[in-house]
Amino acid sequence: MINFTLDAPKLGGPAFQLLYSKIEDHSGLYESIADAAQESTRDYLREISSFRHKTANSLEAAPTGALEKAADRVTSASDEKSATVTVSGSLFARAFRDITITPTSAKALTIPINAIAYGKRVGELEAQGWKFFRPRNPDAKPLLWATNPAGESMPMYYLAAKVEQPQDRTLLPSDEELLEAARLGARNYLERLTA
Amino acid sequence: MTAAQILEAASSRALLPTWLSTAEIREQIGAEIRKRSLFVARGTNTQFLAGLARILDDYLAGTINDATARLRMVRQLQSLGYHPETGGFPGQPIEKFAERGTIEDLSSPARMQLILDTQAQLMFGAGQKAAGEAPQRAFSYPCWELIRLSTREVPRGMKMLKTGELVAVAGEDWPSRWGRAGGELVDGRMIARKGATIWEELGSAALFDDALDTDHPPFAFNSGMGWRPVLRSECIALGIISADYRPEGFDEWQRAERERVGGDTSATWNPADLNRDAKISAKGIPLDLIEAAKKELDAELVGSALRIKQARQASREAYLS
Repeated sequence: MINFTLDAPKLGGPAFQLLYSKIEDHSGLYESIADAAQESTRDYLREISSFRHKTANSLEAAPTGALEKAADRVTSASDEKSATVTVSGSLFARAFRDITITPTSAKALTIPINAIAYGKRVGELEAQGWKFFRPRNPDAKPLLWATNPAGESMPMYYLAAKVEQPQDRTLLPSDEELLEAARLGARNYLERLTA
Repeated sequence: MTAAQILEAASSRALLPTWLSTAEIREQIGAEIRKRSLFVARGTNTQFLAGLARILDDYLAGTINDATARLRMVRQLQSLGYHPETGGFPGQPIEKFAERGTIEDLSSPARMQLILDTQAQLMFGAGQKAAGEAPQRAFSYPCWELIRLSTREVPRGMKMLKTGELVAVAGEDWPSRWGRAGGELVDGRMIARKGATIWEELGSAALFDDALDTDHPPFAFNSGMGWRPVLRSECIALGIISADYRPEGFDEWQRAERERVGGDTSATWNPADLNRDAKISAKGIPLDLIEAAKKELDAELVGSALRIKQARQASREAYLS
């Protein structure tokens, strides 16, 4: 879960700053900023979801739509002091730092190398009648194979002790884009007051 | 509607076990009951629905992903002895057995994903409508635009030619449905005011066999279409609303908000006061100061859409390179 917290005093020039200092209750302003930032973040995630399919494409698998779904789950909150946009999903953890993923309940991470395995867990495929096995050759690559209900065997996952992923800030809207959204929200709010 | 309210609404639904098919549910169970219930076609087992409700709570809260949700669903079905080809749940046979792995099989990945997607979209759509129709938001974003939010290999109302090209099936694609529901395309786009009857018509099972009887997305089964709020200035430019459009309840909201911020509409303000702000009383926030601040923000926002578009394009090219 990633939270962006936005505050307003520096969004505009001197008139805006003076106005901000004179407003007694900022909750309406921050509500409007939260709305605009939430919508901007959703829009951003939907846009990148249209082309960020490297892994799925390399396996010729259908994308899981994780970013599209994350867009729906973007939420916002606000109070008198700030607006917060929240993006849910572990895939965003590397937006701000390099990450290392290690298994929590299994011995190894299962990295799909087959379109059938992409976006699915071993247990789910087992429930569909797939039988998993490790080749006996100790020199073989650490692959997890499976036999489907029709009796065909194929490699499904690469087994890894850990996976390191570099930071990728483009998974989420840039600071500049969020700032623009916050300005739009502030502008909407002032329009509401003066209309 | 906040995220917490969406989750509360989801978890407060009554369980409605049924042996009916999707079409039969629509014909035999009223829309209001459907709205307040959790059910799945041919989902005859109450324990299954109770377990599904718990999985959905976690899924909607974002604490588990699709794969984990499906795994929990399939394990639950196994523990209840579900078998698609021998009559579903033990002791609760359904008339029509499902072929394993098909969309009628509750334990098939496609069916489980459809259940997750439909439930998540219904909750999200209801939340989006409730929040978006608040007067202050309906003022700044007066319209919804119906757009494709989720990609489909072959979208509804389209067919794929042998060449791989997608073509619309006359009368079946979304713009045609929009027309049948009484909507008019605006500059080729499906845009209408929040609260307009078109939204109810678009989701009406009386008009469309696959409709969900909702006035918010998803309007149809397995639909990838959803709403994008449209900014007031754009709605005015498109001629959908007039420049003085005020949604229902906005005047009351504005009066209360002005009172809350301590605004004084009778006060006056001079730009020179920026350097002598002691002249502005704490209780007095003149409207012309607000106008001046708005102009500052407008100046900052000039070209922002283009800047964002260019930055996103650069990001896209960097990813794909």
